[in-house]
Amino acid sequence: MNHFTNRDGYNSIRSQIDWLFRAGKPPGGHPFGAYFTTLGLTTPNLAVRLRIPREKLAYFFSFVDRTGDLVPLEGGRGQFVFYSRTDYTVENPRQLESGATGL
Amino acid sequence: MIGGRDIVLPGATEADEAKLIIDILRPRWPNLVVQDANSDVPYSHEELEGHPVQLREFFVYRDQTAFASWVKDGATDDNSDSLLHMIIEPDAITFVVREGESETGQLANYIVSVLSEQRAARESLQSFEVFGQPGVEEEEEEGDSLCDPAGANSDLIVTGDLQDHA
Repeated sequence: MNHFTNRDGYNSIRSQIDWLFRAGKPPGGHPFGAYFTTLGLTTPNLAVRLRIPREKLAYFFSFVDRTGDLVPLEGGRGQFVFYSRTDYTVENPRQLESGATGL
Repeated sequence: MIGGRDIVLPGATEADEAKLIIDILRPRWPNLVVQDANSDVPYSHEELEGHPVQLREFFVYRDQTAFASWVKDGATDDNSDSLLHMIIEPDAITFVVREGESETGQLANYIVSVLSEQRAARESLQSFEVFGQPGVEEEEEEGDSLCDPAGANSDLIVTGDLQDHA
């Protein structure tokens, strides 16, 4: 599972040993939550599919999610967009990679 | 980490609905650009017109300027109402737009109404065709044999065939 963010978000999340992704209210009537995607760095048209500014793809976190932790978004994007209804913590053993995407 | 509004049209999808969506949009966006979600380049005019394209997830941009802007910057305040993102699954179509009341939201809602009408019309036609099948005829005759020994249902079935070929 992946989370993309800008520089400020990256520095905030990685400042703790356990990554903490804070839930928030996204635009478009989507549920309050912390959002993630199974789409990877090399996915074509990543910003378009997530409908976010390219600047928010600058950094990424990759981790192993636990079954049932995350809810798929309603509709077709639920194939690749998932969310946690509350703040979501990723303990060190589940952390895979993080850093600049180069996108 | 997500933007846009997702409008979902539930129901079994048809193979021609991607083409229909593009045809509905074209009069409003005459210079539209269509791109498969897994491709870096948009379809050419010839590709769209020459052969039926099989699209499962695709984007329709208002024009080339919108396409270039999305490729360069992703979503911005200026370009976010110039793109419809469609995901066609066997049991639903999702339209991702700027907002429900935005231009793209209104376009998606219009497409939903047209597709819904088309599906309803297709469903009634299919019901009519099923009614005209030989197997149904036998069943109807058998079921009605006690009260309709003259086989009045046969007239209805013949009528259906005639209308179907009209």
